[in-house]
Amino acid sequence: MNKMKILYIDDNTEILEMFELFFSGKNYEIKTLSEAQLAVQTINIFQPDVLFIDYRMPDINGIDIVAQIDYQKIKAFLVSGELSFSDPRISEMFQEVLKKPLSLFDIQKLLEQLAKTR
Amino acid sequence: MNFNHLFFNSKFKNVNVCWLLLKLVFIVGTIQWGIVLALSGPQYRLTINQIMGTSLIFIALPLVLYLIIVRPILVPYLERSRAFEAYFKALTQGAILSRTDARGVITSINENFIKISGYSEAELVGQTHSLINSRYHNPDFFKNMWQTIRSGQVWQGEIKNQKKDGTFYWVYSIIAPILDNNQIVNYISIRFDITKEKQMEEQLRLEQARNLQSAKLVSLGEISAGIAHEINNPLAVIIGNLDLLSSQLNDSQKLRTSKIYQGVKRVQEIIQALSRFVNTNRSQKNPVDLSRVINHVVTLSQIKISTNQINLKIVKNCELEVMAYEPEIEQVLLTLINNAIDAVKSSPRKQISIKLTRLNDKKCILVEDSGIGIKEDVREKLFQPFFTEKRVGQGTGLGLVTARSIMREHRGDLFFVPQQPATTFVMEFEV
Repeated sequence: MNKMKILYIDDNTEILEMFELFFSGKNYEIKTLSEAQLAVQTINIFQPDVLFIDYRMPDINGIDIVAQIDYQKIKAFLVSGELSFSDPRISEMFQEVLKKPLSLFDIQKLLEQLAKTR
Repeated sequence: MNFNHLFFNSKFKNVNVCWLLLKLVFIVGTIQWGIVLALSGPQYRLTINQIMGTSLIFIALPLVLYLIIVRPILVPYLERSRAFEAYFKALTQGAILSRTDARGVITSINENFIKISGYSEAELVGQTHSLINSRYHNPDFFKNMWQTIRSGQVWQGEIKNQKKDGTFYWVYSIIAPILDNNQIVNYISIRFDITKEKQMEEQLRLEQARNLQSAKLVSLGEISAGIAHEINNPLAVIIGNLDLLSSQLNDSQKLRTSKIYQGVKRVQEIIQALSRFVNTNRSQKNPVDLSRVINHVVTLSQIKISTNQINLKIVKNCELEVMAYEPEIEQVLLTLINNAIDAVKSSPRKQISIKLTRLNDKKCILVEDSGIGIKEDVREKLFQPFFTEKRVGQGTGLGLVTARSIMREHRGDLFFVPQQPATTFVMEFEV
């Protein structure tokens, strides 16, 4: 089976760095991106199985980005420090809203579960 | 019942009597003169013309005198008297009237006075107004009133009175002295029932305070929601790096990092708790172990407790679980403990005890302190928004208000038991 492709988009590079460090050497193909304006393009080229995307980024938010891609093919997770959302598109586009601060171990568990169902 | 006689002893009626008497004198006098002159006519050989002429003078002269002198003087008096009577009639229907002697002893009252006070005429007349004193106003209030009216001036103001049945009513009072030769002989007072207005005013004031409070809480919530994102990002960095570290740590080091995890979780909870006023879709209530809540909150306030050298006693009579939003219950307990710390901080005996127990079969957390207790005049204000006894900048005046609203949202309650010298606050949970 191919390695699971995971893309993490967040304007906070520290979070991306931690994410990469934590999952490097594990059985995933990891890619991170901090420039939100390249998000759609990157998703289309990389074609991830799992997408983690931050909600609040400069100029554009994560929901609007995912709205521009074929989100049916991707298991997308909205990661956010916001307290609540009222956007009705969320339940359709995302598997789940993950609240920051998020433990990397929790993400690992999540990915292991996804791998099982694949 | 007509109470007019009590107020109008003579003067206005006299004017009427004067006028009638005067008229009578003129008419009788004229007729008399006519008769006298007619009868004595032949003796004095007066012609009929002379008699008529003389009579005419006697009839005409008083009439003219009456018309040009007496009437113009009388008419204004009469008009004033009629107007006064109309005024009085209107007043006696709409207002509460009373009259006292110079010492303040009631000599007369109207029916409205009886109706509103609940006392009978016999009970009121002969008493002073202290019979209906509500003890709401301080002595200076009445001292000032007496000073004003004793000096011959009119006093006006709002007075809270007490009915015979113990309930209260508010009146707008106007009190005026009646002077006779510069001596005060009587006081009259005109009062209007303003109880309803007062109640509305009070309600409005409360509502405004409540609105202001909720507006403040909402904006607090909005600010917290705004900064939540900013705070949660660095928290994510802290947690993520702890995660990365954890694979390289031994057990005792892991114990330390677990404390950091807890702290971060608490920060996150506080942010969430603050924003609860805008964040309406809270998560489900969960079973909350109250014993754990106590431990958690005590850990958070441990530094404050030990730096103030406070003796903390925790008594857990039973293990209790309630359905609740845990961070909110923690917030309530934290408020109570912080208040208790402030209460005992400067007292010689620094003792706080937290009890987990059942009270009247209800699950309760009791927070007791050995402070100076709560003064009686403060007690009813305790749960009012923005009431604080702490120094400026130290208390928001919202702690207990918020705490009580949280407990009531949980269908429980928050109250205190005044138990001199100690004070006990009780967090009571739904049965």
